[in-house]
Amino acid sequence: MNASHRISRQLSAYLDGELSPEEMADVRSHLDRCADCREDLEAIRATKRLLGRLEPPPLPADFAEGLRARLARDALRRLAWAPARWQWWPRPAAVLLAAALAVVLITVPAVRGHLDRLRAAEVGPDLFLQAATQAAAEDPFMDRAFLGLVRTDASIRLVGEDPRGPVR
Amino acid sequence: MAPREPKRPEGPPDAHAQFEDLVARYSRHVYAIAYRMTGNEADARDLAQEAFLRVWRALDRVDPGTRLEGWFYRIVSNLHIDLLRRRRGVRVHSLDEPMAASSGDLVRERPDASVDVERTVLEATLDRRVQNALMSLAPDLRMVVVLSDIEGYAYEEIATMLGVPIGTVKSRLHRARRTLRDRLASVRASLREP
Repeated sequence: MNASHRISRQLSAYLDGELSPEEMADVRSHLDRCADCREDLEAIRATKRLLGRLEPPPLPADFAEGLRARLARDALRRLAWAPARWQWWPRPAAVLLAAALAVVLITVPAVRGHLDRLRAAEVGPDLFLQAATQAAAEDPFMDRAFLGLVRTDASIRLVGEDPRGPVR
Repeated sequence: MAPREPKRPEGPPDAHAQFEDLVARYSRHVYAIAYRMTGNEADARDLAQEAFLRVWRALDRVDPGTRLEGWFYRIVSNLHIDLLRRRRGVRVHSLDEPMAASSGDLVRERPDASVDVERTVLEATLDRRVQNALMSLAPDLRMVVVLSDIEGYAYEEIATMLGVPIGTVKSRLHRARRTLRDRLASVRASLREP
Protein backbone atom coordinates (compact mmCIF):
# COMPACT_ATOMS: atom_id res chain seq x y z
CA MET A 1 0.00 0.00 0.00
CA ASN A 2 2.79 2.36 0.96
CA ALA A 3 4.74 1.52 -2.17
CA SER A 4 1.57 1.87 -4.19
CA HIS A 5 0.99 5.31 -2.75
CA ARG A 6 4.53 6.37 -3.60
CA ILE A 7 4.20 4.99 -7.11
CA SER A 8 0.82 6.58 -7.70
CA ARG A 9 2.37 9.97 -7.04
CA GLN A 10 4.91 9.27 -9.76
CA LEU A 11 2.46 8.15 -12.41
CA SER A 12 2.05 11.63 -13.79
CA ALA A 13 5.80 12.13 -14.25
CA TYR A 14 6.09 8.53 -15.54
CA LEU A 15 3.57 9.33 -18.24
CA ASP A 16 5.67 12.32 -19.30
CA GLY A 17 8.91 10.34 -19.20
CA GLU A 18 10.24 12.75 -16.60
CA LEU A 19 11.64 10.18 -14.12
CA SER A 20 15.16 8.85 -13.82
CA PRO A 21 15.77 5.50 -15.58
CA GLU A 22 15.71 3.67 -12.23
CA GLU A 23 12.44 5.28 -11.21
CA MET A 24 10.93 4.49 -14.60
CA ALA A 25 11.86 0.83 -14.19
CA ASP A 26 10.48 0.88 -10.66
CA VAL A 27 7.11 2.22 -11.76
CA ARG A 28 6.98 -0.15 -14.71
CA SER A 29 7.50 -3.20 -12.56
CA HIS A 30 4.89 -1.97 -10.09
CA LEU A 31 2.38 -1.46 -12.89
CA ASP A 32 2.82 -5.10 -13.92
CA ARG A 33 1.57 -6.12 -10.52
CA CYS A 34 -1.01 -3.43 -9.67
CA ALA A 35 -4.27 -3.18 -11.60
CA ASP A 36 -5.39 -0.06 -9.66
CA CYS A 37 -2.34 1.86 -10.71
CA ARG A 38 -2.71 0.71 -14.31
CA GLU A 39 -6.27 2.02 -14.30
CA ASP A 40 -5.09 5.24 -12.69
CA LEU A 41 -2.42 5.69 -15.33
CA GLU A 42 -4.95 5.18 -18.12
CA ALA A 43 -7.25 7.80 -16.62
CA ILE A 44 -4.41 10.32 -16.36
CA ARG A 45 -3.33 9.54 -19.91
CA ALA A 46 -6.86 10.07 -21.23
CA THR A 47 -7.11 13.36 -19.31
CA LYS A 48 -3.82 14.54 -20.74
CA ARG A 49 -4.99 13.61 -24.22
CA LEU A 50 -8.19 15.55 -23.67
CA LEU A 51 -6.22 18.66 -22.78
CA GLY A 52 -3.97 18.17 -25.77
CA ARG A 53 -7.02 18.12 -28.03
CA LEU A 54 -7.98 21.66 -27.14
CA GLU A 55 -7.77 23.99 -30.10
CA PRO A 56 -5.82 27.19 -29.46
CA PRO A 57 -8.31 30.03 -29.05
CA PRO A 58 -8.37 32.31 -32.11
CA LEU A 59 -6.42 35.52 -31.56
CA PRO A 60 -8.88 38.44 -31.62
CA ALA A 61 -8.61 40.20 -34.99
CA ASP A 62 -7.88 43.58 -33.40
CA PHE A 63 -5.25 42.29 -30.98
CA ALA A 64 -2.20 43.94 -32.59
CA GLU A 65 -4.12 47.14 -33.24
CA GLY A 66 -5.31 47.32 -29.64
CA LEU A 67 -1.79 46.68 -28.42
CA ARG A 68 -0.43 49.50 -30.55
CA ALA A 69 -3.03 51.92 -29.15
CA ARG A 70 -2.12 50.82 -25.66
CA LEU A 71 1.58 51.40 -26.27
CA ALA A 72 0.84 54.87 -27.56
CA ARG A 73 -1.29 55.68 -24.50
CA ASP A 74 1.45 54.41 -22.23
CA ALA A 75 4.09 56.51 -23.98
CA LEU A 76 1.93 59.62 -23.62
CA ARG A 77 1.31 59.01 -19.96
CA ARG A 78 5.00 58.59 -19.27
CA LEU A 79 5.77 61.76 -21.17
CA ALA A 80 3.33 63.67 -19.00
CA TRP A 81 5.02 62.37 -15.88
CA ALA A 82 8.50 63.55 -16.87
CA PRO A 83 8.33 66.77 -18.94
CA ALA A 84 11.35 66.87 -21.19
CA ARG A 85 12.09 70.57 -20.64
CA TRP A 86 12.85 70.00 -16.96
CA GLN A 87 15.11 67.09 -17.52
CA TRP A 88 18.24 69.10 -18.35
CA TRP A 89 18.03 70.99 -15.07
CA PRO A 90 20.89 69.90 -12.88
CA ARG A 91 19.47 68.96 -9.50
CA PRO A 92 22.07 70.78 -7.28
CA ALA A 93 21.45 74.06 -9.12
CA ALA A 94 17.71 73.82 -8.47
CA VAL A 95 18.28 73.13 -4.77
CA LEU A 96 20.71 76.07 -4.46
CA LEU A 97 18.25 78.40 -6.13
CA ALA A 98 15.46 77.39 -3.76
CA ALA A 99 17.73 77.93 -0.73
CA ALA A 100 18.81 81.41 -1.94
CA LEU A 101 15.18 82.38 -2.51
CA ALA A 102 14.26 81.30 1.02
CA VAL A 103 17.10 83.35 2.53
CA VAL A 104 16.07 86.48 0.61
CA LEU A 105 12.42 86.10 1.54
CA ILE A 106 13.25 85.81 5.25
CA THR A 107 16.03 88.41 5.64
CA VAL A 108 14.65 91.28 3.56
CA PRO A 109 11.47 91.83 5.64
CA ALA A 110 13.40 91.28 8.90
CA VAL A 111 16.06 93.87 8.05
CA ARG A 112 13.54 96.35 6.66
CA GLY A 113 11.36 96.02 9.75
CA HIS A 114 14.33 96.74 12.00
CA LEU A 115 15.39 99.79 9.97
CA ASP A 116 11.83 101.18 10.07
CA ARG A 117 11.72 100.82 13.84
CA LEU A 118 15.07 102.59 14.24
CA ARG A 119 13.92 105.43 12.04
CA ALA A 120 10.59 105.76 13.85
CA ALA A 121 12.40 106.02 17.18
CA GLU A 122 14.77 108.61 15.71
CA VAL A 123 12.26 111.00 14.17
CA GLY A 124 9.54 110.32 16.70
CA PRO A 125 6.64 107.90 16.16
CA ASP A 126 4.11 110.60 15.25
CA LEU A 127 6.26 112.12 12.57
CA PHE A 128 7.22 108.71 11.20
CA LEU A 129 3.60 107.66 11.04
CA GLN A 130 2.68 110.87 9.26
CA ALA A 131 5.35 110.32 6.62
CA ALA A 132 4.44 106.65 6.30
CA THR A 133 0.75 107.45 5.86
CA GLN A 134 1.59 109.89 3.11
CA ALA A 135 3.74 107.23 1.45
CA ALA A 136 0.89 104.76 1.86
CA ALA A 137 -1.30 106.90 -0.39
CA GLU A 138 1.07 106.03 -3.23
CA ASP A 139 1.95 102.50 -2.12
CA PRO A 140 -1.03 100.19 -2.27
CA PHE A 141 0.96 97.39 -0.59
CA MET A 142 1.68 99.28 2.62
CA ASP A 143 0.74 97.15 5.61
CA ARG A 144 -1.20 99.25 8.16
CA ALA A 145 -0.98 96.72 10.95
CA PHE A 146 2.78 96.76 10.58
CA LEU A 147 2.80 100.55 10.88
CA GLY A 148 0.92 100.32 14.16
CA LEU A 149 3.47 97.83 15.46
CA VAL A 150 6.37 100.07 14.45
CA ARG A 151 4.78 103.03 16.21
CA THR A 152 4.30 101.07 19.45
CA ASP A 153 7.81 99.65 19.30
CA ALA A 154 9.27 103.11 18.70
CA SER A 155 7.37 104.58 21.69
CA ILE A 156 8.71 101.84 23.94
CA ARG A 157 12.24 102.44 22.70
CA LEU A 158 11.88 106.18 23.24
CA VAL A 159 10.98 105.54 26.83
CA GLY A 160 13.57 102.84 27.46
CA GLU A 161 16.72 103.59 25.50
CA ASP A 162 18.48 105.64 22.96
CA PRO A 163 17.69 103.95 19.63
CA ARG A 164 21.12 104.86 18.25
CA GLY A 165 22.59 102.63 20.89
CA PRO A 166 24.48 103.45 24.06
CA VAL A 167 26.23 106.82 24.00
CA ARG A 168 29.92 106.36 23.42
CA MET B 1 43.20 58.81 -38.72
CA ALA B 2 40.99 55.74 -38.83
CA PRO B 3 37.62 56.31 -40.44
CA ARG B 4 34.95 56.68 -37.81
CA GLU B 5 32.21 54.13 -37.63
CA PRO B 6 28.98 55.46 -39.06
CA LYS B 7 26.78 56.53 -36.20
CA ARG B 8 23.95 54.11 -35.54
CA PRO B 9 20.53 55.66 -35.22
CA GLU B 10 19.66 55.60 -31.53
CA GLY B 11 17.37 52.82 -30.30
CA PRO B 12 13.85 53.39 -31.57
CA PRO B 13 13.74 52.09 -35.16
CA ASP B 14 15.70 49.01 -34.21
CA ALA B 15 13.76 48.41 -31.02
CA HIS B 16 10.46 48.92 -32.84
CA ALA B 17 11.37 46.35 -35.43
CA GLN B 18 12.46 43.91 -32.76
CA PHE B 19 9.23 44.43 -30.86
CA GLU B 20 7.03 44.04 -33.93
CA ASP B 21 8.83 40.80 -34.53
CA LEU B 22 8.12 39.64 -30.99
CA VAL B 23 4.45 40.52 -31.32
CA ALA B 24 4.17 38.61 -34.58
CA ARG B 25 5.97 35.60 -33.17
CA TYR B 26 4.42 35.31 -29.70
CA SER B 27 0.94 36.86 -29.81
CA ARG B 28 -0.85 33.58 -30.43
CA HIS B 29 1.00 31.70 -27.72
CA VAL B 30 0.75 34.43 -25.12
CA TYR B 31 -2.92 34.96 -25.84
CA ALA B 32 -3.64 31.23 -25.75
CA ILE B 33 -2.07 30.86 -22.34
CA ALA B 34 -3.81 33.97 -21.04
CA TYR B 35 -7.09 32.57 -22.33
CA ARG B 36 -6.63 29.23 -20.63
CA MET B 37 -5.69 30.99 -17.40
CA THR B 38 -8.55 33.50 -17.32
CA GLY B 39 -11.22 31.52 -19.16
CA ASN B 40 -12.63 34.47 -21.07
CA GLU B 41 -11.69 36.57 -24.06
CA ALA B 42 -11.79 40.05 -22.53
CA ASP B 43 -9.44 39.22 -19.67
CA ALA B 44 -7.17 37.17 -21.90
CA ARG B 45 -6.78 40.05 -24.33
CA ASP B 46 -6.13 42.50 -21.52
CA LEU B 47 -3.59 40.23 -19.86
CA ALA B 48 -1.75 39.40 -23.08
CA GLN B 49 -1.56 43.04 -24.15
CA GLU B 50 -0.34 44.09 -20.73
CA ALA B 51 2.35 41.40 -20.92
CA PHE B 52 3.58 42.84 -24.23
CA LEU B 53 3.53 46.32 -22.75
CA ARG B 54 5.75 45.20 -19.88
CA VAL B 55 8.12 43.53 -22.29
CA TRP B 56 8.26 46.69 -24.40
CA ARG B 57 9.15 48.81 -21.39
CA ALA B 58 11.97 46.49 -20.41
CA LEU B 59 13.21 45.70 -23.90
CA ASP B 60 16.30 47.91 -23.77
CA ARG B 61 17.41 46.26 -20.52
CA VAL B 62 17.22 42.75 -21.92
CA ASP B 63 20.23 40.83 -23.06
CA PRO B 64 19.59 39.90 -26.71
CA GLY B 65 20.54 36.29 -25.97
CA THR B 66 17.78 35.83 -23.37
CA ARG B 67 15.04 33.32 -24.15
CA LEU B 68 12.01 35.50 -24.15
CA GLU B 69 9.40 32.76 -24.09
CA GLY B 70 9.91 31.91 -20.46
CA TRP B 71 9.92 35.53 -19.56
CA PHE B 72 6.60 36.10 -21.31
CA TYR B 73 4.90 33.25 -19.54
CA ARG B 74 6.19 34.37 -16.21
CA ILE B 75 4.80 37.84 -16.80
CA VAL B 76 1.45 36.36 -17.83
CA SER B 77 1.42 34.24 -14.71
CA ASN B 78 2.20 37.20 -12.44
CA LEU B 79 -0.32 39.44 -14.16
CA HIS B 80 -2.93 36.77 -13.71
CA ILE B 81 -2.23 36.61 -10.00
CA ASP B 82 -2.52 40.42 -9.83
CA LEU B 83 -5.82 40.23 -11.66
CA LEU B 84 -7.18 37.70 -9.20
CA ARG B 85 -6.03 39.79 -6.26
CA ARG B 86 -7.71 42.92 -7.64
CA ARG B 87 -10.91 41.05 -8.24
CA ARG B 88 -11.16 38.95 -5.15
CA GLY B 89 -14.68 37.62 -5.07
CA VAL B 90 -15.66 38.86 -8.52
CA ARG B 91 -16.51 36.21 -11.07
CA VAL B 92 -16.33 36.97 -14.76
CA HIS B 93 -18.81 35.16 -16.95
CA SER B 94 -18.09 34.65 -20.56
CA LEU B 95 -21.15 34.78 -22.82
CA ASP B 96 -20.96 31.11 -23.66
CA GLU B 97 -19.92 29.92 -20.24
CA PRO B 98 -22.56 27.93 -18.37
CA MET B 99 -23.77 29.71 -15.27
CA ALA B 100 -24.62 27.72 -12.20
CA ALA B 101 -28.32 27.96 -11.44
CA SER B 102 -30.45 26.28 -8.79
CA SER B 103 -31.62 23.68 -11.31
CA GLY B 104 -28.49 22.67 -13.21
CA ASP B 105 -26.46 24.87 -15.53
CA LEU B 106 -27.78 27.78 -17.54
CA VAL B 107 -26.18 28.11 -20.96
CA ARG B 108 -26.62 31.16 -23.15
CA GLU B 109 -26.95 30.18 -26.76
CA ARG B 110 -24.99 32.09 -29.35
CA PRO B 111 -25.44 31.61 -33.06
CA ASP B 112 -22.22 30.62 -34.76
CA ALA B 113 -21.64 31.29 -38.45
CA SER B 114 -19.81 28.05 -38.98
CA VAL B 115 -20.44 25.48 -41.68
CA ASP B 116 -19.87 22.26 -39.80
CA VAL B 117 -22.30 23.15 -37.05
CA GLU B 118 -22.50 19.76 -35.42
CA ARG B 119 -18.78 19.28 -35.08
CA THR B 120 -18.25 22.85 -33.92
CA VAL B 121 -20.88 22.51 -31.24
CA LEU B 122 -19.31 19.30 -30.06
CA GLU B 123 -15.83 20.81 -29.99
CA ALA B 124 -17.07 24.01 -28.37
CA THR B 125 -18.88 22.07 -25.68
CA LEU B 126 -15.86 19.91 -25.06
CA ASP B 127 -13.61 22.96 -24.93
CA ARG B 128 -15.96 24.67 -22.49
CA ARG B 129 -16.16 21.66 -20.22
CA VAL B 130 -12.41 21.21 -20.15
CA GLN B 131 -11.95 24.94 -19.61
CA ASN B 132 -14.38 24.84 -16.69
CA ALA B 133 -12.42 21.99 -15.16
CA LEU B 134 -9.23 24.04 -15.58
CA MET B 135 -10.87 27.01 -13.86
CA SER B 136 -11.61 24.84 -10.86
CA LEU B 137 -7.87 24.45 -10.24
CA ALA B 138 -5.83 26.81 -8.11
CA PRO B 139 -4.01 29.29 -10.41
CA ASP B 140 -0.53 27.87 -9.78
CA LEU B 141 -1.73 24.35 -10.60
CA ARG B 142 -3.59 25.61 -13.67
CA MET B 143 -0.50 27.34 -15.03
CA VAL B 144 1.56 24.16 -14.82
CA VAL B 145 -1.11 22.09 -16.58
CA VAL B 146 -1.49 24.69 -19.32
CA LEU B 147 2.25 24.83 -19.95
CA SER B 148 2.71 21.07 -19.84
CA ASP B 149 -0.39 19.48 -21.34
CA ILE B 150 -1.62 22.21 -23.66
CA GLU B 151 1.58 23.97 -24.67
CA GLY B 152 3.74 20.85 -24.40
CA TYR B 153 6.75 22.15 -22.44
CA ALA B 154 9.12 19.86 -20.55
CA TYR B 155 9.33 20.03 -16.75
CA GLU B 156 12.68 21.74 -16.78
CA GLU B 157 11.45 24.45 -19.14
CA ILE B 158 8.38 25.05 -16.98
CA ALA B 159 10.53 25.24 -13.85
CA THR B 160 12.70 27.91 -15.49
CA MET B 161 9.72 29.86 -16.79
CA LEU B 162 7.97 29.99 -13.45
CA GLY B 163 11.11 30.24 -11.34
CA VAL B 164 10.28 27.20 -9.19
CA PRO B 165 12.21 23.96 -8.56
CA ILE B 166 11.53 21.04 -10.85
CA GLY B 167 10.14 19.02 -7.92
CA THR B 168 7.46 21.69 -7.48
CA VAL B 169 6.46 21.38 -11.12
CA LYS B 170 6.23 17.63 -10.71
CA SER B 171 4.06 17.75 -7.60
CA ARG B 172 1.81 20.51 -8.91
CA LEU B 173 1.25 18.61 -12.10
CA HIS B 174 0.44 15.49 -10.14
CA ARG B 175 -2.14 17.29 -8.01
CA ALA B 176 -3.62 19.16 -10.95
CA ARG B 177 -4.07 16.06 -13.09
CA ARG B 178 -5.62 14.19 -10.21
CA THR B 179 -8.27 16.89 -9.85
CA LEU B 180 -8.83 17.09 -13.59
CA ARG B 181 -9.06 13.33 -13.86
CA ASP B 182 -11.96 13.36 -11.40
CA ARG B 183 -13.66 16.43 -12.84
CA LEU B 184 -13.45 15.20 -16.42
CA ALA B 185 -14.47 11.60 -15.75
CA SER B 186 -17.90 12.14 -17.33
CA VAL B 187 -16.41 13.88 -20.36
CA ARG B 188 -14.01 10.99 -20.92
CA ALA B 189 -16.84 8.51 -20.59
CA SER B 190 -18.99 10.38 -23.12
CA LEU B 191 -16.09 10.42 -25.56
CA ARG B 192 -15.60 6.67 -25.29
CA GLU B 193 -19.24 5.77 -25.95
CA PRO B 194 -20.06 6.71 -29.57
